[in-house]
Amino acid sequence: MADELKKYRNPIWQNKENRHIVCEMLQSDGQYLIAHIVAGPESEGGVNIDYDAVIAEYGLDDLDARTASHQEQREKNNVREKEQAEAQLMRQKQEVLFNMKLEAFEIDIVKNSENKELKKLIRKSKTPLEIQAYTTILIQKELDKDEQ
Amino acid sequence: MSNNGYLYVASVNKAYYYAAKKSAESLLDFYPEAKITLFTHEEWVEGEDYKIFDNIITDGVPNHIRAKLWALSQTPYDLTLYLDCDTLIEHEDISNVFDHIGDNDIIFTRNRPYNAKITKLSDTEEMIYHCGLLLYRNNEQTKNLMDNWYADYLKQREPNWDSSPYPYQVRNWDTFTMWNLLTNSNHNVKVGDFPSPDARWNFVIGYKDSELDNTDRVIFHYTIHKHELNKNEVYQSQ
Repeated sequence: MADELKKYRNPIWQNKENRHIVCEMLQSDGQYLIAHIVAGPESEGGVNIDYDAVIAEYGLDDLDARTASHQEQREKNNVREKEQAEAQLMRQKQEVLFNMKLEAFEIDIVKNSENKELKKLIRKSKTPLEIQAYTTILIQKELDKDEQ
Repeated sequence: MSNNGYLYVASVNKAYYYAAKKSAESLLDFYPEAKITLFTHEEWVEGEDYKIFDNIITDGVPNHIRAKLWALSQTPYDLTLYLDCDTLIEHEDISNVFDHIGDNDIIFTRNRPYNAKITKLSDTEEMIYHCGLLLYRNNEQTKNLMDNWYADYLKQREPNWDSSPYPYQVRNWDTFTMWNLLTNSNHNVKVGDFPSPDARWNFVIGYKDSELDNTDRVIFHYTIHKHELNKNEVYQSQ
């Protein structure tokens, strides 16, 4: 509970050189909102009472540690999101191939064909183009057979 | 003369039965001599099924989503490759699968945490084995394990079953039941892994292609869509 009454929560550096902090700041309605607190470069001697209050409460070392931890977490999240996006794309491609193979084998002429070699090639296909090509060849061969 | 074969179990929803037939047809395309057994409900069996399956068993097959656990110990084969119905065979190596049992009683492929709903039970406990495909030896200890797998799964589904210290959702998973049996009981069953890269033996939809390590998939494992389940007959026990 005590933590909720703090005026500043979870501060990290946005830009330490510019003495720029991002944190959650307590508002008059009791809500916390993200706030950017900028004191400017130390050489310029700017003063920001919120900046001074955050430093007084947390200290420079704690802010450094929080910033490092935040960056590490963000990098992990980026890696995870990238992996999830790749997995999603992979799954979509696999679904397309799978559905195409099912559709190919739902064609009676393909299903009932005894041409095992071409059927195997359809099943082994790794791209939609292969499926389409081998299915077309198989159908053509079956039709040619019927004509003879 | 070896007595090795492939086993499918289709219950509850006819979509599983149709999927099992498709999978078995793909198996026969690559291995026409394959011996295949199907456990299913009598009412679903069609005459043409005997062109695909050598053996169709309907006696006593429970109308249960995990009927497979009931059927496993009743395999007619010395070595059995159990496959979920939602699989397709894609390579001739399927005929050599039995060579990989070694001196094990049962071998599994491994779960991929990035592609599974749940694998980690705690910081030190993880359900590593994928239970949708397994190769096993028909002996007393393995049969006991399989029978206990079904019995424990039924207990796990009872409303008052206590999942603690594990998440409640584990009650849905037969993978958890098997993990629990292999971890906390002694069935004297020698457990092993499919040869590396194991993903080629059970390539579950969503796996990365890199899992194959430049080899070809032997078995592709998809998931039957909900709309397929919704449009198909749900078996009503007599």
